[in-house]
Amino acid sequence: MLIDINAYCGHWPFRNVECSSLARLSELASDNGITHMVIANINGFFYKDANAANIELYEQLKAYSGKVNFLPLAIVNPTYPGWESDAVKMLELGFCGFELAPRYHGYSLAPEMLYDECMPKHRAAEVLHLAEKYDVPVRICASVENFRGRSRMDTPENISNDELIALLSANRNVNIMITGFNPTGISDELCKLIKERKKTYFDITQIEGFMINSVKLAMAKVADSNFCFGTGLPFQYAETNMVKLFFSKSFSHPGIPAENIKNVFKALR
Amino acid sequence: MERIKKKMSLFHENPVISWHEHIWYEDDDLTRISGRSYEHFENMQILGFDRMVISRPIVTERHCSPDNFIAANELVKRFVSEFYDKTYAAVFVNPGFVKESVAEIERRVAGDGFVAAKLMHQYFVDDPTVFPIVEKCIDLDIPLIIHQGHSVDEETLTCQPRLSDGAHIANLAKRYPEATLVMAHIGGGGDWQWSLKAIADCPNVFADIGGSVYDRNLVEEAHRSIGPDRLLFGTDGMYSSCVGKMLGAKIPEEDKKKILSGAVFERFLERRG
Repeated sequence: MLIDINAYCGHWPFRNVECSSLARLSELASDNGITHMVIANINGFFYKDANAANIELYEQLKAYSGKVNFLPLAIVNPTYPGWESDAVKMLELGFCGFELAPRYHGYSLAPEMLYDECMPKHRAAEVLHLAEKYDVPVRICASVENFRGRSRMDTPENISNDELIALLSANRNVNIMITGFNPTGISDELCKLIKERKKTYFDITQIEGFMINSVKLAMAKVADSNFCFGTGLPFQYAETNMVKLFFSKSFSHPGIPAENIKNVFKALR
Repeated sequence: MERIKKKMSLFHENPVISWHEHIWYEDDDLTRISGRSYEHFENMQILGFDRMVISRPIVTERHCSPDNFIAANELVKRFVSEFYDKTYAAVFVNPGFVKESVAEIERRVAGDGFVAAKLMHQYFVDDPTVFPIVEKCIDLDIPLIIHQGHSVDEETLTCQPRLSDGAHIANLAKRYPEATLVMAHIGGGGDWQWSLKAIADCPNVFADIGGSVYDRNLVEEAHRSIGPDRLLFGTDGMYSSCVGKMLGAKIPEEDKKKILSGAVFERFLERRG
């Protein structure tokens, strides 16, 4: 079993990645021996109503008959009316968890004082609360593409250490997958929180597998059990992470390909 | 595991030369080769690199002095002498010290068998300050490897305000069509599509696929826009990123082998003897 926790379908508006269908994504993944992919429809980052993208993915999954097993996530925009019932509906339709895109949907991962409220509102915490209720994981993507070459229409900054602290401390019972984050830049405070809360998983896409010292340093700060396999498909070449997984001594921990993350998903327990 | 092992035969069963590697010095001491340099060398053996071109640019100083670039080049010379059958050296200079830089290139190429020159971001490469360096490279018939990236983020623009991109390199290429220029690390950070477009119609500009960015289609677009005869393999120390790019790219296998072998640049290495 090889589980990729960082994959998407849909259309990326800033560059042609030639991969909007599940069939093509499955082909790229199975060519590398990937058996399971945690996916969301990237269109949900850009649609005003993110749930329309979840429905698109649901329709695609109904027609799909490829080799790879998809574990779909519903992109949830907690600033949009009806998000909660939409999210529950997607779970009922077989989705395995939620994905947050605060940079694209325009909210903070920390409590915010809104103009029409008298108390701070913590929107991300509300999604985590729902995830806890249904025992499903939440994914957050810290970066899709490298920040140095992004389109001016894309979000300029990655999700920061402080934002992750706000998210992780809002609810300690939910499994949270953080993708596209470079753990070599992880803060001591975030490390401490991860050690306490557990249930936090990073993918390996932003770690150069052969920068021996920096990988060791990052992995020593948290635990090997916090790392999982990911590819960044279709935005990145899957083979880069396959090379890390099988040729770099730094990633020789047996849990990284599947075991560390498997039990997070009801479908794989 | 079997699939990736099979794919890796591209590296393990074919000649591979990386045109973009580095060594490091220990702490701030430019006379001591860091242990990390040997670890990287070991990684390159694991991944099947047969030969590599190495330099040690000083990136922390915007106005790197001749004493320091000479010391850095001396460090490279020592490392290369330890692994002479597998490594070649590129000479790093700061064009702001024009007399010293030209003399250093001359000395290292003619006397020590260095095979290329390397520039960082001390000056935009189409700045007239750089012209004597290019003229010396033409005179010695060596390639000039240029650190570059079309970066749009504040952090890079602050740290590297004179970072060249494909357009600066294209300007230089048009001024000196007889020069052999290498646009370093297409995937080094920044809008690589922008830089590729800029150099597309400059036949004397080559490019290495190096850098940490492994966006899908990077190699395919480079292949489409400048062709396999102008592409080199290099990593800039980002081994999994760059090996993965080559393995994953949907281009003809023969062209992958051509890029990895660096055949188009072999004459620069043969001269060392």
